[in-house]
Formats: sequence, C-alpha cells, structure tokens
Amino acid sequence: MNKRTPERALFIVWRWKEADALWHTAEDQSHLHCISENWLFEEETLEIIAGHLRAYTTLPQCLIFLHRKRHPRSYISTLFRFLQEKLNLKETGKLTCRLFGYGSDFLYLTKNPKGLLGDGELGGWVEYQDGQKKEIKVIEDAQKKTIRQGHFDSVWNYYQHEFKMKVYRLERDLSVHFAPFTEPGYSQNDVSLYAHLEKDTPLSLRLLSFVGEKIEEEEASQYQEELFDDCAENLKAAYGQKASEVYSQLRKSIDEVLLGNSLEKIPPHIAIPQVRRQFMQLRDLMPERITY
Amino acid sequence: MELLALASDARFLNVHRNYFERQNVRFVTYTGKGQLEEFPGLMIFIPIECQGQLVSPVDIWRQFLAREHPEKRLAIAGVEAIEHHNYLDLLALPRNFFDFFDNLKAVDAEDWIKLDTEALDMEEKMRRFYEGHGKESVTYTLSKISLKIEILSTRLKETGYQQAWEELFEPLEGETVAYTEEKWKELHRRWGHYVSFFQYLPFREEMLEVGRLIAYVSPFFEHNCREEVLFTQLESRKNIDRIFEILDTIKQEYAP
Repeated sequence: MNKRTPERALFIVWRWKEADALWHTAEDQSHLHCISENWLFEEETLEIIAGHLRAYTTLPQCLIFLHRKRHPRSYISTLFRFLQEKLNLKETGKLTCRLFGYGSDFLYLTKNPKGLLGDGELGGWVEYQDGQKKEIKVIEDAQKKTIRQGHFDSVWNYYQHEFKMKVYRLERDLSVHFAPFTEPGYSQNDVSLYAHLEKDTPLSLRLLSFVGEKIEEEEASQYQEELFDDCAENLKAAYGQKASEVYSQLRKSIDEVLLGNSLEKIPPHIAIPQVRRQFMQLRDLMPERITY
Repeated sequence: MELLALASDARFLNVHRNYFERQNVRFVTYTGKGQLEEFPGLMIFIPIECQGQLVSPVDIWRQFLAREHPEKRLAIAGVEAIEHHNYLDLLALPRNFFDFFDNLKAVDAEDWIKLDTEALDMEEKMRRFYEGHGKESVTYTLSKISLKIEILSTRLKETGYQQAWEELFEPLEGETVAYTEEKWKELHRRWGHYVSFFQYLPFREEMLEVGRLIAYVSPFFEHNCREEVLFTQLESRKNIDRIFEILDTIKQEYAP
C-alpha cells in the first residue's frame, strides 16, 4: 500500500527496543524510521529500509544513519547499491548515509541538546560532562507517534551541511598547520612535510581517514565525528562522478605532498597551495553552504 | 608597525610569527573601539568561528570604518584562496608586507568589492537576530513593552500600582501566560543565542551594555511586572528605553 511521501525521511539503525517504528513530526512532512540493528542478517535491515522507501509514492530526501561499530565503511556502498537496485534508481542524489556512534555525533543529546538519541531511546535523561542531569523530551505524543519538530529539524539541517563543513575544516587546519613552510625565503625546499605531521594527532588521523585509511575506534574516540569514514561513498552518491574524480586527484596530491609518498619534491610554497586549490575544487562541487 | 587584530582563533595570529617579526609588524588583539585611534588599521582574520558556525564580520566593519574612521586601513587575512584587493593570503605572503599594506583600498572607496567567502555574512546574522522567525521583530516587541511601561508611569500619577498593573499586565481571561512576560522571555532567549556573535562587531560595547541592562531589569519582567518596588529600584522605564534606543540605532545602521 502506498503511503503519503514526506519531504524528508530519516532512518536510524540502532539498538532500539522496538524492531521497526515510524515516528513523524506533527505536520507529517518529516518521518523518522527507527530500525533495530538486531536482525540476524544485514540484508534484512536493508530490505526493511527498501520496503519503507518503496511504500512511498515518490522517493523523499533520505538520511540514513548506521552505527560505526556494526557497520564497516564498505557497508555504505553496499547499502547504496542495494537501494539503487531494489528501487530502480537511476541516481542516488537523494540518499545520504552517515556513520555514527560512541556518543560523539550531533544525533546524541549529550552532544546536541536538540538531538534525538538518549540512552537507548528517543530523548530521556542526559548526563553532561559536568555531571549535571537533565531530562530532554523528544517525543511529543507517544500515542500518535509524534516527535518534536525542533529536534528533527536540528539534526536534519546540521547533516545537510556537515560534510562540506568537515571538508572545509580539514582544509583550513592543514593550511594553518603547514603555512609556515610557504613563507617567502623559506630555505628548506626539500623538506618532508610528513615529518611535520605528528602521528596520532587529531589532524593526522582526520587526514588519514579523509584519504581512506581506517582509523581504529580507540585511536579517535573523542573526535569520531570529525573523521571521514563515510567519505568516498557519500561523495559519489551525493555529488556525482565529477566529485569522485576530483576527490581521487586530491587524495593523490595529499599522498604525494603531505604524506611523503613521492620521490619528487615540489617546493612547499607551490605544493601546499596546490593541495588547497584541489580542496576548493571539491568544495565547489558541493552546492550547499557550510554555515546556515 | 602595530596593527589591531580581530580573530577567533589564535592559531591564525601565531602561524607566521617569524615572518611578521622580520617585517617589523606586531599585532595587538582588538578589545574595543577606543583602540582604533592609536593604530593605523585593523586586520580581521577570517573566518570567525563562533558557536560552531563560520561567520564573516568584514562588511559590517567596512561600513563602520567608512563612516567613523575612513582614514583607517582594513585588511583581511585567511587561508582560503580568495581574490580580493584587501585580502592577505596566508599561504602566499608578499616578500614585503608593506607592499601589500600600502596598497590597500580605502574603506570608503566606491569600488570596494564585497568579500565572498564560505562563511555567513554577519549582516545576515544581524537580520536574523532582529527579525527572528516569528511575526514580531525584536524592535517591534521592545517598542510595545516600552509603550506599556510608559503608560504605566503615566497611570501611576493618577492611581495606585495594583490598579495600573491590572489594567496593563494582568493576563486576560483564558490566558495562561501574560504577553509582556512571555515576550521578555523570548527576547532573553534570543539575546542568549546571538550575544557571542556580537563580540566580533564594532558595536560590541553597545551590545554589552544591552546585555547588562537586560540582565539588570529582568527580575521586574520575570514576575510579570507585578512588583512596584522592582519597577522603581531597577529604573525599568529608563533602562527599557535605553535598550530600545541602542538596538534600534544599530538596526537602522547595519540591518535596515
């Protein structure tokens, strides 16, 4: 049976008590599907998501959240391929998938008071870092299955801009970090920039995750949300083939210039602005603004 | 030479410390308008990051300087690749900083080009502060509150406080929340959301005064204006008028 298509559909695959619940905002233009991750086979989770989307008359804008612990990065491309095939989609521009987890993402009420996730449920008591506890209500009416519009909007709006912002912040922080090497008259033109990128610092882990290296959870538990464990797949799905190509070129430049994997040494005052230019080309393919 | 510097991120100021030392340029952190007389110009390091958002106060600063200090120089610095006559690219510094500084376009130049960055223009932020998302703007709400307070003062010459209060502030039948109290709370919330952005603007001192006055007179409004003693002690009429005057002046100039 077809049901009315909302403008926005959010899917959160998490440790919910209920297997598959649909919540919506009062005006019914925003749907939140809470799907339990306790299915025996991952295909069942995929089938549930596809089933919900198939039931809509047209495809809404979708934002799908999967937990980092249970879903490796490669799972995102599996999800996109599955949905594309099952729904006969020519393109995946309306689908976005993000990994979340360990309380460090904007979905969590501990991170964002207008978020959605409390301790295993929508809303609830939240304990902040200073030890204070506060009850935050996300559910508006449990009988009618409605949630508060402000909470849905806060999460939705944030993730429409978050990816580009994350790319911008990485570009900015790398530029600031390596700026001294671009000063006029800087004498050591054969310097290895990689030697100046301290290992296991937040910046180096962000950079490595951006170029596709897997970062272990314990290495970056405090700043999981700044990592790019869902980068390549989302870039292609959301911004198309061109973005995917620009990203590949940028990744190659980072590998050569900043990670030291090239024998040919380009002077830093030329190489660093080159990397920045490629970052900018990538951002130019993302139509959204970074601040809203 | 000493220059005023406005930045939200100290890294920007320190990253080329050696270069600027060699050029004999020293930055002094901007803290208030009073400093402007003592320095040849101001350098704004963009973007300004505030509450997790990236904003650019450059255009408001240019308007302010063009009006109040047209002789001062305004330079903008950052690590974004931006083409602009007054922009210093921190990844492509000139051999001689003064070649850049001496050729800056005047702040009141007619052909000044608006800076285009990824950050949100603070003018837009100001408009959102004033207009909000509801039907009533900050200044409209304040003018209504101010009018009620003025009528209260006039009525107090003719009758007692209780009588005047009932006429003006008592919630109408069926109302659970009084208009003035509710609007005051809304203003307070909105103020709390925006106040940290104002510290990067040329009228930060005026906005700090507004913040102090809002906090000072709040006890009167939090009790729906019921306490005569608070009305008198907190000089509520005078202070509300002052808040309105400051906010309205800034609105006319920067968020018309």
